Amino acid sequence: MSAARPIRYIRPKQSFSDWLRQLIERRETLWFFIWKDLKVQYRKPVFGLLWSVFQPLVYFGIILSVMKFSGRTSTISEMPFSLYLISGLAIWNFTTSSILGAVNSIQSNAGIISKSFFPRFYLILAPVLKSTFDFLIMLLIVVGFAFYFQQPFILNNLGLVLISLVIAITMALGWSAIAASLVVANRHVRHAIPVLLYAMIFALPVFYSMQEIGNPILQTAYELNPVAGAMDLTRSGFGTVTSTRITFSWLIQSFIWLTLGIIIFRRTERTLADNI
Amino acid sequence: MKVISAERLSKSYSLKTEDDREFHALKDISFDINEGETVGIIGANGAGKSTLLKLLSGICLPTSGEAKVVGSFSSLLEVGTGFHPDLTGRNNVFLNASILGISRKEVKAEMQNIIAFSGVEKFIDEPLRTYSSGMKLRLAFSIIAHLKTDIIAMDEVLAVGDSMFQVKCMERIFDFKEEGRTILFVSHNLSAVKKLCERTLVLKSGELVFDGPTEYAIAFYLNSNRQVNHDHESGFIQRLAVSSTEKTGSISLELSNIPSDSEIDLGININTQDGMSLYHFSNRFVEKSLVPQSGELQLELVFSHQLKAGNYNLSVYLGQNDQQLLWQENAATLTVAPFAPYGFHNPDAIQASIVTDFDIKQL
Repeated sequence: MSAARPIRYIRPKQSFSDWLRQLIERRETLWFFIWKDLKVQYRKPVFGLLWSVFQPLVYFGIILSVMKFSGRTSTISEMPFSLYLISGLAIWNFTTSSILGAVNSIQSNAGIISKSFFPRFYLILAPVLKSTFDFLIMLLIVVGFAFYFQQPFILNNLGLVLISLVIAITMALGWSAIAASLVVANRHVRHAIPVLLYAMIFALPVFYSMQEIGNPILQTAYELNPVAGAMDLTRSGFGTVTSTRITFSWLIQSFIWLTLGIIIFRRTERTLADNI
Repeated sequence: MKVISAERLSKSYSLKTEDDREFHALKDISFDINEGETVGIIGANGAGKSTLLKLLSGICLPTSGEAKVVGSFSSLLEVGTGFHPDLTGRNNVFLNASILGISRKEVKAEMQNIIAFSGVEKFIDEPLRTYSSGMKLRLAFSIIAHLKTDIIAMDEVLAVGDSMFQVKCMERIFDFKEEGRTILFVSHNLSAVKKLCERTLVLKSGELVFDGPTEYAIAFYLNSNRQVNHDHESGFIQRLAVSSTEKTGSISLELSNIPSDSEIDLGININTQDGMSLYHFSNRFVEKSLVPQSGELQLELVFSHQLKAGNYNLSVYLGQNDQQLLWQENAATLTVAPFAPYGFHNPDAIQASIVTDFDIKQL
């Protein structure tokens, strides 16, 4: 019997500090969740890699063909259209697969949730971190495109690119927590989520740039969407895209979304095992 | 030293279907458990036994009240929680242990023992989907058997697997007990509870109705159960009469309100007062078909027995089209009038419920 025994209190509400402490204490379980997902996907490494980039590459092919046929310009924001498109798709795919992963993880782990205890936020963290792994592979492909087009990397903007990754991951966590909570509250929402996520490919500056949009209302809408911001900031590594004045605003907005996500998810997790 | 202290723990669910009605799964449960105690938790289905374990393990949060748990705690509500078919046996050991809250370091240290104990060494690096269900069960149990936690809570873990497996489980639980761990043991198997636990909590409709020595707890539970059954006479059984002589018994049963006139399955168990089943009769065993007519059926069952004098409980199962219509414990009492088995003058000296003919010769 160990000398220092942990003491646990079971109360109707858990304080945020206890929540956070548990999240850190049980981190090994989180690594196992991620490891399980990666292990299953990369059992055959070639297929694993292929699946992680399959969807964005298919969309890349489709959009590129449509644009070519409709005679769109071959450069956009001072960079080849292909490079612009693939970098936008990388962020879009990461956000989408994070959210879908989180929604699925709640459903597919229903058995574990009702039979064992672990910090419930891992159900969100694990799929988002796993998607981050796939995202990094996708970014290698983006770098590959840059090499192919001999597009010089703007070293001065390296900071902005890193901020874009922080924003993308923060947003993915925040939106995943909210989406998963909505699905727990009402199962039917599950059917709406994929539709919204695919609509996002048109709503975000994936294959057009913000400057092309003259409408000031839409401009404001983009400034209020950190995911659009993440796309622009990633591209700032290859060309000057948007003015970087709203970078800070996007960063703050993304943390507001994450906070909101955590607050909503903490409400949801209190009765998660009862409702599942 | 107190390792668990619960104070007025309550759990209620709001039922969305009925307006604002609340279902109280647990009501104001208070108890203390000391280090090294083995405590049984018994009660009818829906009495709140599992809910109590879920609260103590943190799976669900209480609606009100508080509990304090000192020491590492593992709850085994299921064997093999989180097993993934595509991962190898070895990987699944890590995964399952991690979900139970055991660190990777501990599992690594015990890995050889876990694998050896499970008896699936040859397949340990094969994907779990290639395992038979028996192999999965043995692997899962092997992880549990090497748990190092201070407090272990078990919910009907014994209810799975064959009798050999159950015996092995019981042996390991006794080892835990000897090692001085604190054990919470939820079970419907009253004889197992009696063997293992000195103290037992009885739950009834979410309330803690008895807390004390196991023997009294079981008697209390069986008695309170009997009253409930008389209060809520099931709609199917119109009449159930039992009579017995020294060697033969007869049960006559009248059923009505059976939903359809297709064949029914009838099962009757004769159990000791502490719930051990001594006889089990079913029309399936003797291939007799029982067909109701306009939802009604009368039957008589005659059997020979070797029961010692005393009271025995009958439980009745009724099924139709592979679906259970009724499972009633303590549906009636069979009384075997006092007699002297073997012609022996002091029947109380016979420490068994069943007597049989025997002979002893000095050679």
